[in-house]
Amino acid sequence: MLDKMILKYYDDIFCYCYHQLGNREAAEDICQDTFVSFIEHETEYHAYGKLKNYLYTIARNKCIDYFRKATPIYVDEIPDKGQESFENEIEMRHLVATLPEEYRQVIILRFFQDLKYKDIAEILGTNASNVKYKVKKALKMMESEVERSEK
Amino acid sequence: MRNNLERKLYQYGKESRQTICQNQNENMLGLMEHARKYETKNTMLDFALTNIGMIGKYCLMWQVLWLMGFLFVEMSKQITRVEFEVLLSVLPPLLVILTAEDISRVYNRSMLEIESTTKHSVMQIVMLRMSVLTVSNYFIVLMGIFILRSGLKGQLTELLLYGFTPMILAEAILIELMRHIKGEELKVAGFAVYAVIVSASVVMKLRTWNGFKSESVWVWQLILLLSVAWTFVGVIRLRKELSKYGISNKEYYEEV
Amino acid sequence: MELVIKNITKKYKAKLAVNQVSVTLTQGVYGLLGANGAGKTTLMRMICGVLQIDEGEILFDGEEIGKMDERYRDLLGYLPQDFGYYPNFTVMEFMLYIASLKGITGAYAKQKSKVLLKKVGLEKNSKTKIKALSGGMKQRLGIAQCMLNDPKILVLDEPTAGLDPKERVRFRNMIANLGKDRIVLLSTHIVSDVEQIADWIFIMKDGRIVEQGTVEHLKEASLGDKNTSLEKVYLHYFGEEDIDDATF
Repeated sequence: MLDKMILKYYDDIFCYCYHQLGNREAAEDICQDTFVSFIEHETEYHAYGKLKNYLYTIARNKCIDYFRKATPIYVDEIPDKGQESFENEIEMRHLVATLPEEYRQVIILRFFQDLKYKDIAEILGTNASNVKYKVKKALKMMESEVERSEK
Repeated sequence: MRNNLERKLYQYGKESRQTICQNQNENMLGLMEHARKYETKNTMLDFALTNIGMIGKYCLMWQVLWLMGFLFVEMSKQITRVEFEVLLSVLPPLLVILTAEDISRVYNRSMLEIESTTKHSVMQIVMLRMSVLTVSNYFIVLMGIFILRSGLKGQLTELLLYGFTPMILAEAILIELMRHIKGEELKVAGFAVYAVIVSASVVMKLRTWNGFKSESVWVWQLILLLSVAWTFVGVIRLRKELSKYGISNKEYYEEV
Repeated sequence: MELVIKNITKKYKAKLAVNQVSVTLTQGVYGLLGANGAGKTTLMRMICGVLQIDEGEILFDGEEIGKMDERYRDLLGYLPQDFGYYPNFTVMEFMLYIASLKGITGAYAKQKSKVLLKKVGLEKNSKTKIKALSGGMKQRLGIAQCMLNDPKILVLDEPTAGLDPKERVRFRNMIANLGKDRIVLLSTHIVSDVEQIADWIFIMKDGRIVEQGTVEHLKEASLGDKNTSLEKVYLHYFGEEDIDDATF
């Protein structure tokens, strides 16, 4: 049962940690911690809400702890897919990094992790319309940042 | 502008999933190994279910095809009672032979040496597969008979007799063969056995047309009884043979 | 982790296939050198519990392996000579089947198989049928299936027979690595296979261990010369030192 769960969700959580923390090594550590936490305290999980969202919540809290202790190091990974994607990567990471924390969160969860509004709401402890609003605002902020840097 | 930005964000998300978030197999394995300490598993049950899963894929196909074929032949034309009985006697053993192929897949001499060093033994695997396949075969034949008998006038007990006797006889012979030959040879021998049983059944049935019917039933009952007894004995002997596999087994000593 | 083999003997008809062999194995790579018919395979089969011991006993960490039964088999990984497979199984199907025999199932079995296949370089062949694999690949699969239960004792019977030089080198590297935290017993009559990777070598002749030790020790003990080749040592024990003079 547990091993099926690991197989199903590991990649998603790892990806999320990577976007939060900026580099693979830290992402691996936190991702492992997240699952170990869940495995060791499985009895405390009372199945309200989806398991996936619960894992995201644990991961998020662990990332927050990590931030308190260290500033994230952003490592630029060069994808195999050519110049255009590389530029896109740099641009996106930069834009997302300029956002305040709560707006960064929703962008990561929405666009990089492909989660639905209601799932994001469950993870962040708020409601779906709040999430929608934040996403819109975050996009606006990123657009003005783009315009600003083009000047 | 907004759409462009969203598109780029999604694109980055997708790409990072494909390129960066890869090669985590070893980490996942490490976690799974850690998780095993927290989960107590009933290994015997797991073992059984896994093996059923494995044979399920190969045998279910044959069983379904068989059932469909049986139903199709029955419903496609008006067949006489006798023809139906012949069919009933001829088709079930085929099921046994086909599913026996799956057992012989794992009953391969050169593999038995490895299998005698593992946690679960050869005997457990072979017995498990045989039980599962036998039960499911019987169930399918029963279903076939029950579904069709309503269309025919005939004593249920007689139909069951004609249906099961050749099948059980085929089983008994196969189990006997399994103690002496394995693998591909077993498969080929199985088909030879099938040919013999089919011919015998057809000949027996043809004789009833000449009015020997009442005698026939008695003979079938006797054969059924003997087959069941032979199967029982065969299984016990097979179990004994398999559980000492590898130990003091002359075949394995090649160096002298 | 200690495997103690005490005075074990195997009789077959009139001949003593294994004659009063006593050795102690701990972590590391052990080579078992000997000609065909020397009793290597019989000895290995007894260690694996495949063949019954006529006399003597085998103890793992003080416990008799016969009494340990299932627990002992759980610690064991065995690759027999002439490893025959189910030719119609695919590589992954085979790994999963052996895994189930070893009591390993589910997503964990799949993941473990994936990782092991990668370690032996067969990750791209998981859907290939075994009959389509080359000899070297089959041996690699043999090693992978051995490792499924993380054995503490690995017994390999002539694992490099029939492999080309490149595959042999690859194999040697894999085995040398494996010896780091387990007992690896490897039998062969190809001297170069063990010379580089074995921590300790047993020389077996007519069912007895006639000499054992490190490579240097064997060279000194047999020919008194540290700089000789292991091959010459082998010839010393197995007769015909004048083989150099043989001409066609």
